Amino acid sequence: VRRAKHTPDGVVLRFSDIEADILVTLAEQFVQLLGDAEDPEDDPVLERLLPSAYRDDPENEAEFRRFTQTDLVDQKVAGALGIVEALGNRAADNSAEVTLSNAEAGSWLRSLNDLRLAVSVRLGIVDENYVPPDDDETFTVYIWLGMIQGALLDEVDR
Amino acid sequence: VADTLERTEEDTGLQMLVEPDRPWVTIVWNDPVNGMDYVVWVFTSYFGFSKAEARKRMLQVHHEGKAVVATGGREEMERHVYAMHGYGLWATLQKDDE
Repeated sequence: VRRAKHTPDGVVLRFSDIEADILVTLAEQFVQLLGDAEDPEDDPVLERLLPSAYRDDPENEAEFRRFTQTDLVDQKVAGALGIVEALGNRAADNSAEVTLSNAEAGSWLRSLNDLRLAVSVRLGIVDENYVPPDDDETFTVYIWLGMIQGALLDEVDR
Repeated sequence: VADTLERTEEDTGLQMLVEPDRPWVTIVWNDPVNGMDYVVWVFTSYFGFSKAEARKRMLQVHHEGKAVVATGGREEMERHVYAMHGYGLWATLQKDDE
């Protein structure tokens, strides 16, 4: 069964029951993490999700953050909650299917990317020479998030 | 006495007045996580670049470590940087002095 398919109603994304559960759990953890986003320097994941806009300009950086960070956090939280909502209330069978409009697909692409970024920081991926540990569950999740994102990208681009 | 917020806005306005001709740039930096196809999609859907142009800039980020994706006024560049952060890209703005 294909992961993603372009239809007249939008892009249809398919997940197994277990996959949907994992994605919902990740998205919920993400929302929780961003709930503590007051001081991003306290957590490297937050630092990566809410990066600096100005290099070497602390004054402008502080001002930029003061005026934008709440909105940025709200946007990321809303995107993750969209995933939770779409997959969390599914019927108890063995698969999950969501149909996404263009705008929703864009929001999913961003949110999947946010989740992937968060996982990458936990894995310690800082450059292109990263070597994954053998049989690492977190790394498997990282690759899997990239596959979902890639499948969705292929269909959105049509 | 003006409060801090008003003073800051005045300072910003003054800076724009003194240096009207120096444009700002939005720079996207390389990172090992964001996929190439994703970055191309961000550049086409947000900036409206053609696929070829988006690919060119993505490859520039990948190979040279960074690429300028927009040039203009400071407020506009702040909007772009904010949007890029929304997409999870590593973007900053600075005066175009290189």
